[in-house]
Amino acid sequence: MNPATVSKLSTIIDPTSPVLISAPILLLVFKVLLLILVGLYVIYALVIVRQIGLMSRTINTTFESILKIIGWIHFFLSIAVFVVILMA
Amino acid sequence: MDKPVTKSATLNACPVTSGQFGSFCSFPDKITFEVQHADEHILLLLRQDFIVNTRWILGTIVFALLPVLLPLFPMFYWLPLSFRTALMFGWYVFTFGYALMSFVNWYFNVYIITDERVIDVDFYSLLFKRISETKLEKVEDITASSGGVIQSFFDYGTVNIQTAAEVPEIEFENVPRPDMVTKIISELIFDEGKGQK
Repeated sequence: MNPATVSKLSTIIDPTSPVLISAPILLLVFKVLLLILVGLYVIYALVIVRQIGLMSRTINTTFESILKIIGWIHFFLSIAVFVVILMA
Repeated sequence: MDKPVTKSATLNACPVTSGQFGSFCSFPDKITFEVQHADEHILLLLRQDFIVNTRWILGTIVFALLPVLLPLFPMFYWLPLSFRTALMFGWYVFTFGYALMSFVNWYFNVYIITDERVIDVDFYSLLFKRISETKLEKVEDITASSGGVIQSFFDYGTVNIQTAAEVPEIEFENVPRPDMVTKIISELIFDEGKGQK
């Protein structure tokens, strides 16, 4: 194996670690997976907001405005989770 | 709000309610619905009995308390602090979302009895909704059923309404006081029948 390949592999594989793969790479993979998951959740949170709007159009109550606000708070919190994971 | 005039003695004995959070709301004065006619009054608004919410409320409490068990998983502490913070934050937002969606599903799935019609508003998951309705004079048969210890103890069950309309059956699922609901519908049908003659 030529030295260039060994050098490239050493950034991925840590020979001193019992699991061989270095922690930063594992964390990066973990982070990407989390970002995909939370990204999907942000879309789901937006669907919830939309659905509360549609539901409250079908049944009009005085509580619907509070529910809409709670829905938006949930949506912004899910975006905050995405940002926090991105910054981690 | 004044009570609408109805010849259902059972319903007349019920008070005016706001209809905001109850499962059995007679004459709800702060609720209207999309397909309501101008001169149509809601006589009874039903939701599933509040006891059916126990499952998701307990689920939410368990989800909220699960991070207490984290010391049992030392692997979690191998992660950097920023990751742990992000994961905990995410966990609580997911839990909040679960509780919100469960509540919204309970709150907006309603059964409405007006002075003209019986209406069943169903929201399936997030993306599907079904509104079934039938005129009171097309109601043919009403069956109330409840079974099991919990339903008997908390007095809730299912009311099946057979109709002569395009929708053959309307089902009020897990509604409180199913016998009373059946009686009210019967009285209203009788009232409607007399009005037709």
